[in-house]
Order: sequence, then structure tokens, then C-alpha cells
Amino acid sequence: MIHDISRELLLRSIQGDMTAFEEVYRATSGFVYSVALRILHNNADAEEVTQDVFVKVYRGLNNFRFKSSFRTWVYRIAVTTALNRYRSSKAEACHLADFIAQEPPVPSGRATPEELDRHDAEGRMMALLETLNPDQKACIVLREIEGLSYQEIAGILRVPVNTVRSRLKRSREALLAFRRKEGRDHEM
Amino acid sequence: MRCKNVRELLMTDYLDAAVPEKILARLRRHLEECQGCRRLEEELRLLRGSFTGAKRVEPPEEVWSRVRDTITAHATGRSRGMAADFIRKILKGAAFRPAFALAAALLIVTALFYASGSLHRAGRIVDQLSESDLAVYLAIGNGDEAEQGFGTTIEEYFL
Repeated sequence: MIHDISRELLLRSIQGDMTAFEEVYRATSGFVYSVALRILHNNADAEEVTQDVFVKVYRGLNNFRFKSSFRTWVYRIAVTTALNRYRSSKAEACHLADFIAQEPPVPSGRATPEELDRHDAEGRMMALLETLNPDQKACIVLREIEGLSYQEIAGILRVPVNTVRSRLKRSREALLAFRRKEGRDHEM
Repeated sequence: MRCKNVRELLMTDYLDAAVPEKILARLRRHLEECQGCRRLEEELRLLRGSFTGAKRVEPPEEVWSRVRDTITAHATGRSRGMAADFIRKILKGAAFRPAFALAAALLIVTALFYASGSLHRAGRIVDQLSESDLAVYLAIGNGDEAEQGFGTTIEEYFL
């Protein structure tokens, strides 16, 4: 569920109050960074996308007319910027190299069993996401990780609700096929 | 309910708790009877489990510093840019064009006046010079620059 930012805070940000804009940043940057990280699978790219998104948001604040949810607007900029960054990557091979390089850092020798489990789970989740195309990935991240409704996802991606439904269905089919194949490989 | 429809719902609205109550009751009845669809439901639940541990990750602190610095630099650059734009417009004559045309005309007239005066004076001086001095003087005065006009940038711009 998307909870919106107060109008007063936004108005102060529009007037150039950086303290107010910092509050806006603190309230929304977790979403922006997480989504970018899951789509791009690369910390440096996710940081750049986050920076890019908030500079765009600040410059676009004057044109925000309060007719729609502010968070939806920010999230839309975030997903679009991350997807564009993903697509502009020169080659899939480049992404594969990043993927290998960006495996979650292995916990130290003193890591608790919970930390090790979390590390493994994060690695499995990222491997699953890598089997999807960018649009499917965005849908799954928004639904499964961010817990947004079909309507909210449709609003962010600017597509009909039925498109969200069909993208989720295809994504889950692809993920199930990957898991089944993985299961067969382990049995062999 | 047919398996095809049930599978479609399991993949989407059922998993996302968006199936209307009436349809949900029929779907559950089907699941009790159909082992294949029950297996798919179980697989989907396990798949969902792969994402449940995923937490929202906050960006490193320096990202905010970079955002703030970029915005501040842009704001400063914009005010400097506005001044530069104004000067550029003035130089191009985009603003106050009639005033500039008048100023240019005055400059040209003034320059012509002084130039003709100095030529006249030069003629008088030539009369007073010896032949060797004259040769030196003409060599200086009749160079390429005489053919290029008055040699000032403002004239080069307007002529």
C-alpha cells in the first residue's frame, strides 16, 4: 500500500527548502534504491539511478500538480529510469559479468546461521530475477518484494491492470520453469 | 471449473488474494478434487517463499550528499547561466535590436569622421616629409590593413 507524502512537505520542497526535500528523500529513497538494485543487480548502477531519480524529482517538482499520488509519481520515475539504464547496457554479457561480480558479499566467518541463510536466500532470489525480462522483473519486484496491488503497479508502469496480470502470469511461469529445471539438475 | 481457468487464476489473482469470494469457493472445491492443480498451488507458494525474506535496502548515505550537491550546483549554475544568457543576447543584438542598430550607426559615422580627418592630416604631413621618410610612412600606411577596413572588432561585427 502506497502512503503519500504530506502536501505541506512537498510545497516547502517546491520552494527550495532542502531540509524538506531531504525528508522526502528519506521517505522514498529506500523504495527507489531497492527497486533499482533488484532490476539492475549492481550496487553502483542502483546508486546512480537513485541519484538521477531524485535530481529529476527535484527539478520536476514545480510541474507536480497534486492530481495523482506523489509516491506513485516518484516510483514511476524510479522504475522507468532503472529500466532505461538496464536497456541501455551495452550487452547482456556485460550484465552477466556484473551479476557474477555483484553476488551479495559472503558473511564473515563469525556470521550467524541466520545471516548465512539470508545471504543464500538473497542469492537465490537474485538468480530467479535474472531469468526474467526487464518488464517482468519490474512487475515481480513491485508485487512480490514491495507488495503493491495490481492497480498500484498499473499506475506506476502506466499499463492496464490486465497487462500487469498477464506479465505476472508469464513471470511466474518462467520462474516455475527455472525452479523445475534447477530441481532436475540437482537430482542428476 | 476447468483446470485451464483454475491454473490461470492460481498464477495471478489467487496468489495475490484478489479472487472474488464466489469464485474463490468454486476454485477451492476444484483444488480438493484435482491433484495436478493442488501441486501447482503448492509450487507457487514455495516460489513466493523465495521472495518473502527480501528486505527493502536503504541507499548508502553518500547518495543523498551527491543528490544535494548536484541540485545545489545546478541551481548556482542556472543563476550564472541566466547572466551569461543575458550578455549573449545583448551581444547578438537579440534584445534591444533597434537601439543597437542606432549605436552601430553612430559608431560607424564617428569612425568615418575620424578616419577622414586623419587621412587629411596625413596628406598635410606627407607634404612636409622628405622622400625617404615618405617611403617609410607609405609602407606602414598602405599595408593590408588598409584594405580590411577599420580593423575594429565592432565594425567587423556590424559590417
